[in-house]
Order: sequence, then C-alpha cells, then structure tokens
Amino acid sequence: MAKKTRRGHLKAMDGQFEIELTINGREAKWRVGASESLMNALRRQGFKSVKNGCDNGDCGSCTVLLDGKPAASCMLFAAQAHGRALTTVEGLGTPNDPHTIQRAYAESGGVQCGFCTPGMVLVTKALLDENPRPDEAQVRRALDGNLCRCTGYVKQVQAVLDAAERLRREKK
Amino acid sequence: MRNNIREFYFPAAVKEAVGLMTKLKSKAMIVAGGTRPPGDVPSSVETVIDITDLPLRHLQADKGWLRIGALCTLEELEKSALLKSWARGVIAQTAGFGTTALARSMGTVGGNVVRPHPYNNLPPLFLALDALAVCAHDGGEETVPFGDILKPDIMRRFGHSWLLTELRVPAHTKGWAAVSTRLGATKSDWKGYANCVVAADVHGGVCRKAAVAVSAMLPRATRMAKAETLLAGAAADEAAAREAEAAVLVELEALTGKSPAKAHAVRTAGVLARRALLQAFSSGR
Repeated sequence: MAKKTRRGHLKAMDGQFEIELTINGREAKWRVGASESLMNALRRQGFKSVKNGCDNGDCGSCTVLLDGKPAASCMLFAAQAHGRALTTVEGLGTPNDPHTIQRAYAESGGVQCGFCTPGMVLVTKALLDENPRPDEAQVRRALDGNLCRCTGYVKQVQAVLDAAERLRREKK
Repeated sequence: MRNNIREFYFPAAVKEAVGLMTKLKSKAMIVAGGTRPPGDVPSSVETVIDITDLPLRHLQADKGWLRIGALCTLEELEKSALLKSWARGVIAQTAGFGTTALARSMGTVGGNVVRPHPYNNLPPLFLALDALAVCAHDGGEETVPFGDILKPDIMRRFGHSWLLTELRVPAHTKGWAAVSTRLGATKSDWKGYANCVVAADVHGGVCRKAAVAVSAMLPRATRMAKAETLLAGAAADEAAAREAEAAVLVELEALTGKSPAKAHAVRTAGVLARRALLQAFSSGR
C-alpha cells in the first residue's frame, strides 16, 4: 500500500487506536495503544528483529524503514504508521533464503552478538537503494546512527561495500 | 505508560492543522519528524496532530528567495544540489552537522527551529542568512524576520497557535561566503558547546558586509552586532578576523554576565568565529 494521501483521523476506543498499514508488503490492521511507541507495537506483533536498545533514538537498534526511509521506531507513536508502509528485517529475507545484504553481513563477519544487526541491515538497504555505489565515507556516514558495542564497525563497513558489489553483480 | 491520548489527526492542509491547534490549545501536541520519544508526552495532551502530510516539503529558488518548507528533513537539506550551490553550501553543511543519520533522516527543519533548544544548529544559520520565517495562524499567514521567532513571546506560540511553514532566504545571500562551525563533546553530539555561523559578502579583498551568529551558550541564537560593525568595509584578512573575535568575546561576556560556567564556551565561540571568518574570507577571494 502506498502512503495514503488522506489519513484523516483516529479516535481511541478503550485506549487503543485501530490503524491500517502495510508491513513487509502485506496490508494489516492493528490495534495499538494510544501512546504506544511503534517499536513496542512491532515487537508485540511479533517483529522481534526490532530491538529495544535505548528507547531514546540514540542507538538505532529499533530502526525500521518507514516509506523506504530509515526511522527510529522508538521515537514514533505506533499511530504515526497509520496509512504508511513499514519494512523490518523479517520482510527482507528468511534464514533459509537471506537477502543479499544479510548474506554479506554474515559472510563478512559483520555480525557478532547480533543485537544491532537488523537496524544496520535496514540502513544498508536504504543506502544501497539510493546509492548503489557508495564509498567508504558514505557507508560510515549512513551507519553513524547505529551503535555496535561488539565491534569497531570495520566488518560492517566491509559488509555494506560487499553487499553493494553483490547487488550490482546481481542486477547485471 | 501514560495514556491520556484519545485522538490522532493527520491534517492534509495547513489551515486544517492550524484550526485544530487553535481549538485544542495545550491539549494538543504537534508531531512531525519523530525526534521526541512518545514517552515524553505531557499528561495534559489528549490529541496528537501529525503534520507530516502537509505540503511543506519544498526546496526551491523562486522570485528572489530560497524557499525551504518546514517539513524538509535535515537529510534532504544536506543532500540538496540547490543548497550545495547556495552561500558556499553552508545550509547543506549545517544540516549535516552533529547528530546521526537516523536523526537527520527523521528530523525536520521546523522541529530544529521551533523546539527552543539553544544548541540546535539551524537557528544561528538562518539568523546569519537574514532569513524570514513564514508562519501560519488562525488569522492567516505572517512573514517575520527569523530573529523575531526566536524571541520567547513568539517562540511559545509555536505548537499552540502558530505553525512554521517555510523559511525564506534572500537571493542576495547566494554568493556570500558562509561558514558554519560548532564544537561539541563528540562529532555526533547534538548538544554542542558553541555554534557559530559567519556569512560574509567579500569582494576584492574587502568584507562589504558580514553576519556573525552564535548560539548554544546563550538562551537563543544571537547576532554579534559589535563584530559585524567592525567587519563592514574592513579588509578581509587575519587582522579583521582577530578584531572580530575580540568583539565577539566582549559581547558574549556581557550577554552571559561573565558566568564562569560559560567562560569556556564563550572563548570557544570567539575562536570559532575567527576561524570561520578566515575560512569565509579565503573562499570569498
């Protein structure tokens, strides 16, 4: 579902809103708490790749793509997703059939404890959708909102550059 | 979790958003970019007005003005080819300062300007570039000098009865040599100690006009009038930059009451002003 041009108005019933959204390409209707964050709503709905790191927009662990752009889901009300399209890592690939970006992260050693990885993978997706041939500085800048406490970011940067090359090859 | 929110509106027109704000007053809260955690909502808020659907995402040069819609994100400013060609790219450069890619992807120009944190990076920029602010309210639309909206009596109207819709930067600043500088604890630290923006009209080695705006250690971004007077008509050289630095220090010491807690930030702002001027002079040659 493309972003609705007219999203109108939501009225709470028993402290909850009913929102319509597209999640990983599928249309859905959810009941969400009136002041619930999008991060909490996603986790409650089973999208556990969305991590609760800082709950303050600082760490990037809860990153989702909102209409294709990276967003910290802890900083948004769940109701703000009404009429919009969300992508989480669950929408990219599966353990048996990972997305090229996920494969690159795994094979480059860009994953250690894995807590920050879903956010990084989504930021990588947004970056490579916009710029299929980023240089290292652009990759580092794109990842600067996603904190990793295990690594020195070297492997993640390598993974993004590797994913970019693989995706370019796949397109040929 | 507080749960006093009962309604969520997604207005599609500025008039509709302003009507809701005016009617609901402190019971309503505006959200746009998403750089304020939902947990921060005051318990008085019963209605959230999400203004992201308003048609305020334009970035264009038009009839003598650079027009920047209040809902443009910092990332859009940073990546705009138009802005990279304006005043030595200072708007794009400043939008890319500090914070993180996620905050730049979400945060809007309007949020950066009307949330009155003294360390926000855009207010000194638009102040130095002689911008105008276009504000919508129940009585229609008002265009005011950017410095006016930073004053507390106007600033407190935003989110309650006024909505910032656009910033207009005059076309004559396009050729200015402008430089934005800041110092924070880290590169990505949103809360800098000192921000300084310098915009100078430099021709033939002479600084015809200069604007110096400082923020972070003051309650709001402020133009350094003494330094600007010294710079007008001066040779664009190191001596002028040093004199301006001294003038900035005098002015900031007066404005901060020589507070020992702010002495470091004041000295930093002076150094930033000198460095920015030297850089502006050299790029203006």
